[in-house]
Amino acid sequence: MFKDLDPILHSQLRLAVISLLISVKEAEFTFLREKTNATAGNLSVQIQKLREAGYIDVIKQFKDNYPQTICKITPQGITAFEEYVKNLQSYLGSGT
Amino acid sequence: MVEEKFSPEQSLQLIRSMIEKVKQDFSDNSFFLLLWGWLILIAALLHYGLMTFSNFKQPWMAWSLMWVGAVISIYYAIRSERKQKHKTYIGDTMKLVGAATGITFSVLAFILGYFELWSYSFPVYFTLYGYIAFVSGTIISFAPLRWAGVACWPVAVVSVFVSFDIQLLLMAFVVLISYIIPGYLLKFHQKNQTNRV
Repeated sequence: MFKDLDPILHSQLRLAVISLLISVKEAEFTFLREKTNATAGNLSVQIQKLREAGYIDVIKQFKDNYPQTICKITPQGITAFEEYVKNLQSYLGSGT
Repeated sequence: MVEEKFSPEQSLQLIRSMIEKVKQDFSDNSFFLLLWGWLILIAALLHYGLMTFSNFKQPWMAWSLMWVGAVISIYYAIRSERKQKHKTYIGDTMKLVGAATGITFSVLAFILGYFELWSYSFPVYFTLYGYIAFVSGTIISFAPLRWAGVACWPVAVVSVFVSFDIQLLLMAFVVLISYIIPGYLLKFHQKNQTNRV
């Protein structure tokens, strides 16, 4: 039924992360965790999958002597998200 | 958030709810409007009061309050930058507009002061207040701020034909309509939006 939907994005947490990142320029890991209510471990795994797919960039740096992880959607991620939404709309439009 | 199979409707709902959560980002925009709105209003009325009802020789000293605004603004901007966990394109644009506004007013104050053109300065300021409110309102998609900007421009034209003491009262009126009222409306609007998320 959902064979055309991108399997990388058709997962609740990964879709939530991409939906947050599509609305911002960049976001800290802690921001994504707060908004998705996910555990740090689960979120790390899903972020890694998005990174491996080339949908997001992950930048690790230090801020005020604390480690900081910044996530940013890539142009490939934007295209994949737009395609995903288009496919979703066609499913809804066809009434399935 | 648990991993499970979900329908296209649930997917769209999830996308919508995440985008709504990011909208809370606009919460800081009212701070600068209210800070500068109140400071300019107090300075204008103080200048008018000292000039009209006292023998104080330097009523323009009331504008020293602008230094207080500059210090608070810089402190608040640095603190917000440190606390911020995400960046938006709109947020970054507003920061640059804010910085450009501060520099523009400082340079203008220097130029007008250097040529001793203080009595001609207010119509220029009113025009700029209108421009800044209009541009800011457009960037953050907040119509009351945009309309407040439009309202400043006729006041700027009228101010050319009145005396300096009336211009001071017009200044208080202009910041009331272009900064303070839209500032409170924005604050109220953002509070409602945050409560809904």
